Amino acid sequence: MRFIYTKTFTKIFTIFVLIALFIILDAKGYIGLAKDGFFRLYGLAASKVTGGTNGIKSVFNTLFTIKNLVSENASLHQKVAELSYNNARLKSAQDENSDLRKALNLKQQSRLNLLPVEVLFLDATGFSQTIVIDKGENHAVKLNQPVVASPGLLIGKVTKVYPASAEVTLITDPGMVVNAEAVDSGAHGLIRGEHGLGLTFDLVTQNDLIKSGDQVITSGLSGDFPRGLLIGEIAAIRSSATDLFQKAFVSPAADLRDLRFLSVVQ
Amino acid sequence: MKLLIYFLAIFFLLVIQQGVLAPLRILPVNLLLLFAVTAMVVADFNTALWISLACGVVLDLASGTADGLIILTLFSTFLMVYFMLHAWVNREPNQLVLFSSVASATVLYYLLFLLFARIFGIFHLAPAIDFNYFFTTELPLSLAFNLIFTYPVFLYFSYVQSLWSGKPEQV
Repeated sequence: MRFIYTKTFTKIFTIFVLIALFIILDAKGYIGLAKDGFFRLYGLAASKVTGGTNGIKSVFNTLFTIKNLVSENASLHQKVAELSYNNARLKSAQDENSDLRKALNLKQQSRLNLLPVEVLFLDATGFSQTIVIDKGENHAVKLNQPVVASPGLLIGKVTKVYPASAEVTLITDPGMVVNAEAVDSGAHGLIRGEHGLGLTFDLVTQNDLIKSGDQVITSGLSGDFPRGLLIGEIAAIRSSATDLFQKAFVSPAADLRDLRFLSVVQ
Repeated sequence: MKLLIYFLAIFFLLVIQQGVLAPLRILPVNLLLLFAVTAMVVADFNTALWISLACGVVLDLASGTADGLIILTLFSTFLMVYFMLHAWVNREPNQLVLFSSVASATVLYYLLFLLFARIFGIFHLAPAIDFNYFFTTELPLSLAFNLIFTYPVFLYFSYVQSLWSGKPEQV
C-alpha cells in the first residue's frame, strides 16, 4: 500500500496544514488573545519558580562572598558619596541649561512619558533575546517604542504587540542596532547586540577618542530612541590602530538577565 | 485524560526550564525536545506525535522567534528521527538508542531551525539568523546540556507515563 494512502500520512499532512494555518492566523493577529492568556499563565508560574531559585541562589552567593562584604561595603559607601556629589553638580547644570534655553528662546527638553510594565518571562530557548511584558495595545503600547529600566537605562524596544501583552527585543539581540555616542568624547557609532553576551560599539572613526570606562548613551540620531538613555560602559577596546574603524566591547548598564519592573517610553 | 496529563507535564517541564535552569545560566538546553525524543523512543507513534506537536506549540509560544518556526522545526525533527530510528535501528529501546537519538535530534533540530529560518526570512516572516554563532556556540552547548539532562527527563517521562498506565518504562 502506498504511504500517501495510509492513515499516518493523512495525520502528518493534516498537522502540517494546521501549522500553516497557525502561522497565517498569527500573522493576521487573530490569536492574540489566546497568546495573552498563555503568557499570563506561563509568566505567573515561571515567576514563582524563578523567585524560589533566585532566593536559593542568593543564599549561596552570600555564603561564598560574606568575607568580601566589609570591603565591598566601604567601597560602595565611597561610590555613593561620589555619585551624590556628581548628582548635585549635574542637577545644578541641568537648571542652568534650562534657564539658558529659556533666555535664548529655545524649546525645553521634554521629559519622557513612561508607562510602567512588568516582565512576564524571557525567552528560555536562547534563539532570541526577547522578553514579554504585561501591557499591550489596550494600554497604548505601540511597535518600536523604547523600553527602559529606572532611571533611564536602555533595555530594548517593542517588536510585537498583542491586546494585553507585548514582546520586547533586548539590545543584546544581534538584530538590534542603536545609534550611540560616548559621553566624554562625543564619539558617534553603532551599538550592536552580541547574542546576549554583551554589546559592541562599532563604526567609531579612528579620529575619535574612546577609552575603557567611558559611558555610552543613545545619540537620538535615527529617531528610534530618544537621546540620553544610558546604554552601558566601555569595557575594552577590540580594534587596533590599523583597522578602518574602532570597535569596543560595552557592558550593558542594566542587568538584562534579571529584569522585573521596566517602563515603556510613549 | 492521557493527553491532558502529557500536556500538563510538558507545561511543567517548560516552567522548570524557565524558572530553574535559566536563572542558573544553564542555557541553551531544550527539555521539551528531550521529552519528545523520549516519547519517540519509548511510546507508540500516535502518543509521540501528539507529544512532539504539543512540545512544539508550547515552545513556540514561549520563544521570541517568528511564530510557527519552532513548531515546524520540532515536528519535522520528530518525523525524521522517528522514521530513521524505526527503519534503521534496533527497535528495542535501550540507553544507547536513547542517547544517540537525543544527539541526532539535537543536531537535526538546529539544522532544520536554520533552514526554516532562512525560508521564513525569504518571506520576511523572520529576521536574519547568525549561522556561524549557532553552529560554533549554540549547537555544541545545547548538545552537551541535552545529553546531561537526557536521563533525568527520561525518568520524568516514565513517572508521567506511570500516572495513567500504572507501570513505568524500563530502558
